[in-house]
Parts: sequence; structure tokens; C-alpha cells
Amino acid sequence: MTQHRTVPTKLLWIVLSSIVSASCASDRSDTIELAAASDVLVDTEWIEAHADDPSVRLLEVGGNANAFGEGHLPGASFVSMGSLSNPDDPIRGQIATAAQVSAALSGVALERDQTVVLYDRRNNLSAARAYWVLKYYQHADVRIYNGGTPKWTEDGGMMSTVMVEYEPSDYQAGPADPEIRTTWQYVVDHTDDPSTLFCDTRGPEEYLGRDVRAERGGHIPGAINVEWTAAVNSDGTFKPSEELAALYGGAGFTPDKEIITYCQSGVRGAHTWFVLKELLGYPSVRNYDGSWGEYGNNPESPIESV
Amino acid sequence: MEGGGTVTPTKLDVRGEICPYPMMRTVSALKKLSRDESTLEVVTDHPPALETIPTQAARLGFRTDIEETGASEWRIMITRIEAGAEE
Repeated sequence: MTQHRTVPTKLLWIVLSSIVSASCASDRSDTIELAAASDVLVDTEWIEAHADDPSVRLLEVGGNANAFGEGHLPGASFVSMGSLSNPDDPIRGQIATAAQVSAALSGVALERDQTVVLYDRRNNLSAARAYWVLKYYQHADVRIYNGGTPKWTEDGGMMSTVMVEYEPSDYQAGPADPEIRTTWQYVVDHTDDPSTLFCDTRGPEEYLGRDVRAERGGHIPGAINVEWTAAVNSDGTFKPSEELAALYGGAGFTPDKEIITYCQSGVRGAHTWFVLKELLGYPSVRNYDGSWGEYGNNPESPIESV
Repeated sequence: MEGGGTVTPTKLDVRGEICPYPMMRTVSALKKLSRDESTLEVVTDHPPALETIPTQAARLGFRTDIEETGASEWRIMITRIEAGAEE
């Protein structure tokens, strides 16, 4: 069995600890040792090796059912992104409730002890958001097929039109993990907290307040802008971890801080959350699900803009 | 386009696309409308697009009307605001 691994832990630790040391301008006692990055990315060889493994479930997310029907990875089931959001939440696009997630995953006969491999059709964006949703409800083993359908076809994989039928399961989402999600109040309470950094994952025009997609434009005070696409190769896969470590560390995001990612609706923020938390192993990262769709529409939100 | 005053809107189906792509594809389609095309019909199932698409359409000189067409699915009719017209 082979598996795409992120950067070797020792190398990652060296890169990041040197960044922490430099940014703190102090001795090496300020460095912290990161937990090993999980084996959360799988490649085509891994998918093929587990094609008949009943403990592994392949879920296509993003796109739509019609496209899925016209061709998908063999053995995959389709889960719409809409089924993982809460239509009753006044903030549009917020994460689904535990009951809604349970219903969506029961519909594809998922069991909590199965390994879930998520993939999508562009840039791992939907896959990363779905990953965050499943981890929020504490599904134990979740992975992303790095590159999704473009990578599959590039590697010579055949697309299937066979729709696998399952009897629905009784999937029960676990308790929510409050450590990976945050709220408007928490954000506002931490804008002056030097131990908290905000990563604005939107485009620079949105960050600067020139591209306004809410009542007001701008960004959370003190936020640093690293657009989510900076973490993506031209083929839609994630950049190597050593490049990601240099990118985010160089921008000032060090693992000794708590980092809150955000965007317009918590999707791009989830992509960067995945990079920081799961690929780089930063210990404390939260995705602000409400993001600018909530923050920019609340007149009480402190805002910076040009 | 049809003659005789009946206009068939250009359609854009972004179902399954999530932020920021529904808005980005809509903006791209609006910019490609010819001068004699005044309407774009967008179908989406991504709730945040109900806020971002109207905002961007307004910046480009269009008004939007949103209709829920099914469970978590919407049609957004985007119409060019003619010069001098009252909104």
C-alpha cells in the first residue's frame, strides 16, 4: 500500500520551528513541536489499491448529481454540498446540523467506522469544506483524494457511470467539535488578542474592501490576506507541505498562535483551515463559518478597509 | 435572441458550484452578454450565492429577482438596468 504523505515530519518541524524562532525574535525555547501531519491526502495509487476495500468509502462532493451520473470514480457515491449546509440558518451556507449531516450520510449508507475519502472536480475546494464538516462532527477517519476527477483522468483512470446502490444506514453524527469552528462573538472578542491571528482567504480586492459582497467591505482588524488559491498547484492539487509552510509562515502565521480562517461563506476558509490544521499540523486553527457574509452585514463588527 | 420583442434569457446553471464560483461564473457571463442581450438566468443551489450574485450584478448595472424553484434551489433573473431607467 502506498499513500501520499505530507512533508516528512522532521523537515516540517525544522521549517516551522525556524519560522517561529525568527518571528518571535527570541531563543529556541519559543519554538513548539508540531504534531505529525496526518496522512490525510491519498493519491491515485491508494485509490486503486483500496477499490475493493469495504472499510473505505469514496464520496464525490461538489458538482451536481447530473454530472456525477455522467461519470465518476468507480464505486463512488454522491453527496451534495447543499446537504451539508443548514437551509434554516439565517446566515446563508452555514454548516448543517448534526441531524442534517446524519441524514445526508445515512443516505449513502456510510458507517462511522469507515474511512471516508472525499474528492471533487476542482481545486479540492468542496472536498476540503466537506472534510471540515465531517471532522466538526468527529468522523474519525477522513481523507481527501488530492486533485479529484482531473487528477484521476490525468493518471489514466476510467470514469464510471455505474451507480452503486446501498441500503441507507443509520449514521449518527458525533458531537460537534467547538475547537475547529468559531462564531462572530468569539471573533470580535479576539480582534485585540495578540495570541490570535486572522487569515483572510479571500481575494485581495475583497480584503481591501474594493470588492464588496456584504453591507460593508474590508476585513477583520489585523487580518492578514493569503488567498486560498496560493495553496493550490495549477492542476488543483495542494502544494507540497514545505512550500505551504514557507507561504504561511512567511506571512506571519506561526503555530504558536491560534489562527482563525475566514472568507465570504466559510468555504475558502475551510480550504485554508485544512492546509494549516491537517497538512501543516498547526495545533489551534478555527474556521469562522459565518465569515464576511455575517461579519460584513453586522453593523457592530469592527472593520478595517482602505 | 428572438425577434418581435420576446427575449429568451441566456441561462447559466451553476448548481453544485460553491463559493466563490457561482458568483465568478455569473460575473463572467454578464460581461460576455452582447449589448442586445439584457437578461441572464442563473440557477444555483448554493445559498451564499443569493447574496454575492446580486451584489456583483448591481455593480455591473443589473438588477436581480430571486425565485425559489425547489428545495434549496433558486432561479436568479438578472436584468440590465437601462440607462436613465428608474430601479
